[in-house]
Amino acid sequence: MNKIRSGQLFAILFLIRSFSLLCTDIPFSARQLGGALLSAMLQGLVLIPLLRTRVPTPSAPAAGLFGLFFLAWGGHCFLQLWGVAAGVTFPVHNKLFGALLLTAVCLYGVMLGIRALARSATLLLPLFGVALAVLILGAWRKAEPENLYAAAAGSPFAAAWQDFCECGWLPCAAYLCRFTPFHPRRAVYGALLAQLGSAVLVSLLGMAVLGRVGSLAEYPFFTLGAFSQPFATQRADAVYVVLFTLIGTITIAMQLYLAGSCIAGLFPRFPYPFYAAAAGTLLAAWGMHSAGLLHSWLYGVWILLLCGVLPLVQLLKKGAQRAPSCS
Amino acid sequence: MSRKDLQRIIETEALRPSLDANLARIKEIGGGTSDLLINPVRVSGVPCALLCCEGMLSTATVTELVLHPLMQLKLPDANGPALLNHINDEMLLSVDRPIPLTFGDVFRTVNSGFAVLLAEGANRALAFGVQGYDKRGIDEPSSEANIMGAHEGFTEVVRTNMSLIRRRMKSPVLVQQLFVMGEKSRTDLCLCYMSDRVSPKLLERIRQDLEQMKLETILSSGYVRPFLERRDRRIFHSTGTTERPDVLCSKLLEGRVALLIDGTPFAIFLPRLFTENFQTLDDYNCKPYYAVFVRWIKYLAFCIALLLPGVYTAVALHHPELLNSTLLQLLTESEANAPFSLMTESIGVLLMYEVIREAGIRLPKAVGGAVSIVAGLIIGDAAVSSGFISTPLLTVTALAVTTGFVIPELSHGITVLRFLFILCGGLWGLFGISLMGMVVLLNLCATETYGYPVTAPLAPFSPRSMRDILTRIGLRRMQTGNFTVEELHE
Repeated sequence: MNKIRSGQLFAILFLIRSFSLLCTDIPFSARQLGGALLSAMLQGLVLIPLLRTRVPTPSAPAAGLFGLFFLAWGGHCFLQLWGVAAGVTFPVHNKLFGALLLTAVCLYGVMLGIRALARSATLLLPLFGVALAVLILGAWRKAEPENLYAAAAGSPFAAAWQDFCECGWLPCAAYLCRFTPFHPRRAVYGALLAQLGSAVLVSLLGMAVLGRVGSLAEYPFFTLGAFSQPFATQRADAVYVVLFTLIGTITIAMQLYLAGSCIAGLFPRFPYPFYAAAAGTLLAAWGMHSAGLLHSWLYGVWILLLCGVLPLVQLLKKGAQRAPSCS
Repeated sequence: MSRKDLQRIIETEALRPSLDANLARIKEIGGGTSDLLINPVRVSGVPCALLCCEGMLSTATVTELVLHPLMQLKLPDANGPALLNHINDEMLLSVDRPIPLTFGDVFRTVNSGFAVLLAEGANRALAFGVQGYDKRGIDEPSSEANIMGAHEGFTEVVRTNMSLIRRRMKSPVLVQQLFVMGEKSRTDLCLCYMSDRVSPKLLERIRQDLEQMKLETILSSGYVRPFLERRDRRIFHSTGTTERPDVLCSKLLEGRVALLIDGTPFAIFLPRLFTENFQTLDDYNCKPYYAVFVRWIKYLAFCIALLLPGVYTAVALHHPELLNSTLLQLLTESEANAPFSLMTESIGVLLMYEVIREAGIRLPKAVGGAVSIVAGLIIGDAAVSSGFISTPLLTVTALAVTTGFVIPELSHGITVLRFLFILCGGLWGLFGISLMGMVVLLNLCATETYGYPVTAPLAPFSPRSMRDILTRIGLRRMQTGNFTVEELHE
C-alpha cells in the first residue's frame, strides 16, 4: 500500500519549495521579502479550497493537466539545477552525460517507490537544518543591520507574483494528498509556514550580509554561503553544494514520480509510465531552454488553475449536490 | 531404487514389524557407511537391536542410562510392542525420547546422536537422547566483544543455544519451537519468540517463507537469511545476526523473532533496524552520557569510513578552493611527485588494504603475524618512501579503514561503497559524491522486511522510539513504555 505519513508529506513539500529558494536568482531585498510574504498569503488562500476537497482520484482531464504540469515543472527544476551547477562550476564537462546521470539517479528513486522517496526526504530534513545552522553561524558575524535599509526598493506585488510562479510545490501537495490516509491540513500548512520561515530568515541574512553586492550575484543563496564562512581555517561551501544536489535530486524524482503516476492513471496498459515521464521531463527541459521559458507567468496561471480553480469547482459542485432542490 | 530419491522415499517409509527386515533395509539405506553401529541384543528374551552413530554419543552415558537398565529388565511373556511400551512408559532412560516411526526418523535421530532401539514385532522404535559428541565449549563471542556484559556466546549446538536463552528468560511466554529443514542435512532449526510480544502476522509470514525454503543443506545462517529478506537488490541486510544470547534476549523482548540454526553460533533475528548497528550491550552498562558519547562516535565513524576517501579525492581533484591554504600546500607538495592520479592511488591503496585484510583472515595464525608486518609496515612504508603513494592519502585511508572497525556489522557494505564513492568523487567531484549518496540513501530507505522499514524510527519518524537512537535515556525511564517493533510497522 503506497501511503505516506504526515511528517513525510511535510518533508517532501518543504524540500520541493526549498529547492526553489536555493536556486533563486532574485537578489535578496526588502521588495523580495515583501513579495515572499504576500505570496505566502496567496498560497494560504489557494490552499483553503484545495484542502477541503480531497478528491480521491482526479478526472481524466484533470489528471492530464496535472501530468503535464509535473512534466513541465520537472523540466523547470532540471534547468534550474543545471543552471546553478554551471554557476558554481560542478565538474561535469559533458552536459548531456551529466543530465543522463542525474536522470538515472532520479529514475532509480522513482522505481523504488513513493515510500523510499518520502523516507529519504525525511532524512534530508536534518541536513537542511544543519546547512541553515552553518549559514547562520557564518552570517551572524558578517551581518550589518544598515544593509537592511540600504536594500529597500521596488513594489512587492510583482515580486509576490514572481515568487508564486515558483510554487510548484502546490500542485505536488494537491496530488500527494491522495497518498495520505489522513487529512493533510497540518502537514501542508506546516510546510507553508516552515518554508516561509526559512525564506524570511535567508532573505534577512542575505540582505544583512550581502547588501548591494547581492544584486550582482547570479545565485544569491550560494553567494551568501560563500560570504558567510563560519570557520577561519576551513570553508563550508561543500555543505551547500551537497545539500543542493540532494534536494534537487529528490525534487526532480518527485516530479518524475507524480508525472509517471498521472501517465499510469491515464494509460493503465502502458508498461513504462515512469520512463516516459523521464523522457518527457528531459524534452520539456530542452524545450524550455530553447524557448527561454525558465521563469514564466504561465506557471503561476497553471498553479492557480490546478490548485485554486479546480478544487473550487469541486467544492461548488459538492455544495450544489447537497443543497435541497426547490420544486 | 535411485539414491537420488532416497531421502524423499525414506521420509515416508514406515518401519516394519520384522527386526531382520528393518535391519536389512537400514543397511541398504546406509550404503555400507562405517559409522553406523548396529548392536543386536536380547532384552527380556525379545530380539532387539541398538543403533547408534560412532562418535556421536557418550559411551559412559549410554552404558549407564540405557544398556545397564535394559540388560536387567525381566519382563514376563514379553513381545516387541509390549517391551517398547514398558520401556517408554515405565522407565525414564533419558529425558529426550522421540519415537521414530519411519526410516527417515531413525536416520535423523541416529545422526543426531540418539541411541535407537528396535524390537522384533514392533513397527516403531525408541530413541534415547544420550548425545556425547565433541563440541566447542561456551566461549566469548569472537565477533561481538564487550567489556561489562556476559562473556558467553552461542555455540554450534542448537540445544545448548536454546538453554542459554532460557537461562536468561525464565518466562513461560518464551516459546522455542524446533523443526527440521534441509532435504539432505536435516538441520535442526529453532524459532524463538515471546508469545505476548510478537505479532502473529509476522510469525505466520516467517513460517510461510521458511516452508518455501527448499535447500538441500543448511550449513550456516547465510543460507537462510536470503529467504527471510526481500528479493530486491539491497545494500544492507534487513535481518540481523548475533552470537550473543543476551543481545538476542533483548531483541526477543521487543517483539522480534529469532532463528537458531544447528551448526552455526550465529542466530538470526528480524526485523532489524539500521540504527541497531550502532548499539551494543555495553551502552546499557554505563552512564547515559557516556553511552551517548560513544554512540555519536560510531555515527561519525560510519560517515568517515564511508565518505572520507571519496570526499578527499573529490575535493583534492575538483574543489581545491574548498581547502585552506596550509592543507592545499601540503596536498600539492605530496602529490607533486606521485606517478599516478589521486583517484588511482586511492583505489590502489584501498585494494592493497583489502588484500592484506583477507590474507590476514585466511592465513594460519603462525604466518599471519609475519604477513601483517611485511604487508603493513614494510610495504606501506616502502611505498611512501619511494613516492608511489603520498603520505596524506595513506593517512586518510588508514583513518577510513580504522573507523570502519567500529561498526563491523556494516563492514561489507562500507567496503564496496567506499570504492564507488572514490570513483564518483574522482570523476564528478562533490556532485558525484552527492549523487552516489542519494543512491545509497534511496536504497536504504527502500529496504524493509515484512513491512518494517530499516530506517525506522528515523523515517518514518517515531518520536517515542527515538529515546534509544540519538541519545540513550536512563533505564529508569526506559523501563516504562514496553516498546515493541510493532509500533514501527507500516
